[in-house]
Amino acid sequence: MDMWSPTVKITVANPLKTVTKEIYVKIDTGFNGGLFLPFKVYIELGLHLFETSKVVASIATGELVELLTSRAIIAIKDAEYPCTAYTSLRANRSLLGLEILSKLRVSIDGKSKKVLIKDPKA
Amino acid sequence: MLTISMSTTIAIRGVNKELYRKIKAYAALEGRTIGSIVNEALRMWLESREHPLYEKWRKIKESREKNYKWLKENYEELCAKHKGMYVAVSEGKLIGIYKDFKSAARAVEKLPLEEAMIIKIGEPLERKIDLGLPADILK
Repeated sequence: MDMWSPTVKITVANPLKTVTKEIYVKIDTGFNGGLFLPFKVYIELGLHLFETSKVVASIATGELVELLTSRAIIAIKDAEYPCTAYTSLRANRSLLGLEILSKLRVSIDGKSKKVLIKDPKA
Repeated sequence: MLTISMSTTIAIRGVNKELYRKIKAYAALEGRTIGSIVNEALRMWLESREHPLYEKWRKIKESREKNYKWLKENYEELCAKHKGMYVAVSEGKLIGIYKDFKSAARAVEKLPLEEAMIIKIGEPLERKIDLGLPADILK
């Protein structure tokens, strides 16, 4: 049986907003970064041109992984949020983490399999 | 279905003692043979090289390493002279120092680069974070 995952559609852009892309991201409260992207998406957005400092991340098993990191901008509804995007060669999913979730009002209705994002200013 | 496992015995020179010690410890903890762990590591290494974007990844990583080395060597001087400004580096070479991030990003975007790093001078060059991600998203 496939488990339902709380997923939302967002727009991601590079820091100059010269490339944008609409993607589906899984809401992941266990991830304290902003956005985790597959490497292919990271390259398509040109984020490798705006990389930030070296990041060594510890994953759930305690292993350390060096990630590529860049500034990025995401848009949800009418609001924009600058954030840090992370990737790895073998990254295979898009995740939205606490750096962004902490700025939103998100309700997850598991029974109806719906995610509701309210106006964060409300 | 019958699966035949082919294995061989080889001697490898130059194995890092500390890595070998850790592998031995993990093998004992997990009740595995060192051979099975080495096979897993070799398989993962090969899978990475066979990834369609591996060449791109390798070039970015190489450039990042050079940038990091250059920044470490020059960071003290940069902090003394340009704290709060933004430095752009690519392939271990300075592209420029800019008053804000957007100016640095615009300068970088115009150049035919494989990778570039933009750092706010004064901020740490290395961060450790806890992503809490499950290991399977990196498979």
